[in-house]
Amino acid sequence: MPPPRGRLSRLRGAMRPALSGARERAGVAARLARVDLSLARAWLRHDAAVRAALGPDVAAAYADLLAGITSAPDVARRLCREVPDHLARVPPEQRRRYLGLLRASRRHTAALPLLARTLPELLERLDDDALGRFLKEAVGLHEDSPRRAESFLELESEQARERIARLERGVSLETVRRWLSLYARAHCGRDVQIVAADGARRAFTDGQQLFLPERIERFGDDRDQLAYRVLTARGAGYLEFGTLELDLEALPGDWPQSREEEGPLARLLRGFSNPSLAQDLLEILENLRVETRVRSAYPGVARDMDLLAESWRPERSEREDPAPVEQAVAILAAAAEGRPAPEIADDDARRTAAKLIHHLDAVRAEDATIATTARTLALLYTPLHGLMVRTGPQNRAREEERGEGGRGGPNAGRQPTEAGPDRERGEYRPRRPDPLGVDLPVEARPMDTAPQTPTRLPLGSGRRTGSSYSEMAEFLERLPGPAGPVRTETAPDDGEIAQAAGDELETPGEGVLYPEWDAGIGDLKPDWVRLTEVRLRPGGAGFAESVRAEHGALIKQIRRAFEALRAQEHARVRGLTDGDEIDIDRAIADRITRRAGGSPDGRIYHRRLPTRRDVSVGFLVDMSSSTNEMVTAGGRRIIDIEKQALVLISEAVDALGDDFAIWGFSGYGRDEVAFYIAKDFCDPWDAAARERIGRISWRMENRDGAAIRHATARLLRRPARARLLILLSDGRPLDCGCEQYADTYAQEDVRVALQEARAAGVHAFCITVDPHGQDYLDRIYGPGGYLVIDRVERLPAKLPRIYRRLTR
Amino acid sequence: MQIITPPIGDFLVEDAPFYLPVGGEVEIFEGAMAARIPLILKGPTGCGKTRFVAHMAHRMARPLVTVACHEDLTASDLMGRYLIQGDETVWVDGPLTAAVRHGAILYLDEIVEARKDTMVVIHPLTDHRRVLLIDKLAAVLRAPPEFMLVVSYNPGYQSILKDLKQSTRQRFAAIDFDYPPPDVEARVVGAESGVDVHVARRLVSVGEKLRNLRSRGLDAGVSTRLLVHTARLIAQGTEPRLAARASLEHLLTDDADLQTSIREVVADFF
Repeated sequence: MPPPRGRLSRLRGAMRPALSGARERAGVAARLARVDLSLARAWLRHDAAVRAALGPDVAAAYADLLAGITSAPDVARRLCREVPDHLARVPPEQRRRYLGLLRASRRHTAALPLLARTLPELLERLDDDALGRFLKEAVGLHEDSPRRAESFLELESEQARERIARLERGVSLETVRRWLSLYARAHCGRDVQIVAADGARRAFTDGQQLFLPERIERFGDDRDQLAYRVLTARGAGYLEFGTLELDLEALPGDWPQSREEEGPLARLLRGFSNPSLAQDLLEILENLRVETRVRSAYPGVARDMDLLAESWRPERSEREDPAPVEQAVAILAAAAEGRPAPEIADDDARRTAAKLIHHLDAVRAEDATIATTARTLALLYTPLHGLMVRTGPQNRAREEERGEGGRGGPNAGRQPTEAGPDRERGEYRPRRPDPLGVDLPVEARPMDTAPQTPTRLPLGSGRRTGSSYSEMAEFLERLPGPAGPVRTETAPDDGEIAQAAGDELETPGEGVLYPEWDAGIGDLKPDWVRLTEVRLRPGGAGFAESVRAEHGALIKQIRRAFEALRAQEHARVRGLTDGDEIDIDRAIADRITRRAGGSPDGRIYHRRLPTRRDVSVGFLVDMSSSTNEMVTAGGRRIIDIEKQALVLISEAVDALGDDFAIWGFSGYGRDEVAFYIAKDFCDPWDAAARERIGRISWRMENRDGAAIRHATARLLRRPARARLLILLSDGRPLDCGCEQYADTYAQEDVRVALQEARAAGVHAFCITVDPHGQDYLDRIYGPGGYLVIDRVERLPAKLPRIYRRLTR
Repeated sequence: MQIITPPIGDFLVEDAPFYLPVGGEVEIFEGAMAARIPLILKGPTGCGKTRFVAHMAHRMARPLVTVACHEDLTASDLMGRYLIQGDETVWVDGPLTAAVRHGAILYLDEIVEARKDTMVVIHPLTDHRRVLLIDKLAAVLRAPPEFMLVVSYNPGYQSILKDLKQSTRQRFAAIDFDYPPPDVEARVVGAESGVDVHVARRLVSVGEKLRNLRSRGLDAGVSTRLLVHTARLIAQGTEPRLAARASLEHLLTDDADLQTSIREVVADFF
């Protein structure tokens, strides 16, 4: 007799994990077999023991490590045997880290067994960043001499001990990055991203990013942190004191035509026949100017600069056998940095430099601007270029041929930029960059990192990840979302959401027309945008479960806190010793007691309590493709975190009893603005609503204006006394489906849409994670009308608090 | 029935409060009083709104009745109520009624915090009628010409549910306050605390820099009042960085990174 249906399905349910475990193991074995058959066999022998002793997570990471070593099966086999023993020496909470670090070094196969053996001792001593550097150094040594690497890793050699001592005490950028960026903002009033420099690219490129060394371990004490502070103050000084505000048109001279993607400083340099010489001079002068200004504006920074000066002041390794012009530049650089002049052999160089040194005073003046620097640069350039031409024999020949003589200067130097400077660059070797300095923002953004389409610059675009694979993955993710009409588009998100559009969405309605504000003509264009409502379908229970798993305790806490806030139903409290009015009944009873010789308690007043909350709130999420940006080390996307935040805030608002809706929007072009409804006002807050939030995913562009107008219209249909619209945004409004909807046009449209909303009685508040928001947020939302969250991962915990403050 | 009203002498501002005018606010105040137009003082917390009103009350020799509004403040808290004392019921004037009786300057600080029903009693006082209707006394009080209503509110930092309605707003004239310009602020800090001008200037620079962190973690900018507090600690002999730690860093935020950046900005100047 077959078992009853219910029991059978229960049985299947119980077997599922076991079955999937076996399937997984078979998959891993197949992967390993592709590397090497005997590796797969060895793994099958060890796996069960590892799984039993160290747990499935570690076992999976162990298998992963082995599968990653594809080029050296013998090493993989050896690790397969030895790693379980090493793992036993590693404290349980460090095991994943241990395997992760080994995996990160997997390309250096020869050194892997040594690393696997020595790493357990190092784990405790160094943090990830320091350990990464230490291992890198060890791997480098290993290529020369495995013996040296061994004694280095076992901390036997003097070199290793000194290194580890510094690494242990040094400061990594990661630990100070956030306060440094706040500090930089305090200085220059603009949002600055602090980005780790990777040696090659140190200059900060566009005035929004400041490149700092990944780690400073020069001193091994508090001064390392001071060095970060000084570097940040000086870097922010370029913004504060207007390095990027060079206006070439206001300077005398004939400057080259400006090019796309080129800053004014790069254009300035192109105006000289030898841009390398000009760039070095520009750096010397502008660094001197900014440093002088920073020192005078911030006495504390000046003090730290002095404190650090002797050892911190970057020592550039000077060239051997410098040409006279290089010697002269070195003298000027030393004078600018307050160092003693280098020993100089060449008389010409000494004489030229001595004649020029007083020009430095111009940029030291309190009122010096970048224009002063540019003018001084022209004054220095001519004689130095002359020196170069006179003393460089090949140079002289060529210059004479061209009939240019010793003239330099911005005008004389306006050579066909294709030929002249390129050939000349060989004769003047640019100074070596200082090892710890901040370079000038002369580089335009390199073309290869420029976005292909004018999308928003992704969050953390300067982040370096190190491995080429993750860089590639990041690059792919930054590509704009698929083009085409909204209705047939699928969101290539993680598997759970990637489903055919037809399955995910209900049939959209006909669409509503909305006007749009055209700042160019200063008028509304009626019926300009077609917006279509799309109801998201439930499905994907996995999302709600994962939120519950991750934030279960927080949800409970939030619900409890917000339920306590729920206004009490009773309109009056009686029996008070003090209140609005006398309660006649109690007053009479009081009097009778008194007459009868008793002593009444005097509780004869009553008071009205605040009326019930009467709030309707709509949450409107920007679902544009940029929300696909990874923001946390764990590979979380902005949109994932926003969705979690939406679940948490929904719990809070539901506990409060406020009327709420959750919407998203995206689109492409003015005919295709989609307005997604995850939870409408009348929908209950239940499992289906949570699942619909799970369906929110990144899509295409964001035409904020129309979405705000539609959300306003929907809010106005609610009978509430207070109506609130909360926008969750990750950047400025932009719709690439329409050339015009960008920059000022788009921002003005949003500003006007918000004005309309306010006039109609809908309050709007914007929560943004855009770190570059400073220039438009104040204008669009007004002071106090927005909030910038610099750590997106904290949004879920913060949002309920923000909501509480907005509606208290 | 007995009516108790607080003696007016208690409300006179006797010592001249220190105040440095920034731009025309004294003229506007005097003009508004002559024209019998109530005033709104807008501005962030701690920028000198309350001090300004006290200064004007002293200058014009009028009593000043100040009410700090809060979310439980009702109309009867403002107007007054019956109390039973012994065998008798007495009426005790609230601050609003007292101010109207005496022709005082009534200052309602953070007006939007008060309950909505308070607006109802204020409205007839703010237009041409200038009357206060006390329903429980069945009486109408006419405000004497010297009576003036001044309210304050902070547009940047409050609940959206508590905005001032247009119908209320449009009864007033407004003065927009902000933190004073650096040289004025330095003089205020110096005069209020007794620190020398160099310290005051540096403190003001700290304040200016920290105001760049508004909406980036700090809910409100660093107020002049906070700078004065810091300066007073310094004037007492507290080491400046320690004083700033207590009065700025730990006070403004609980966020460790933000605290560090505040500390470092302070170290830029001290």
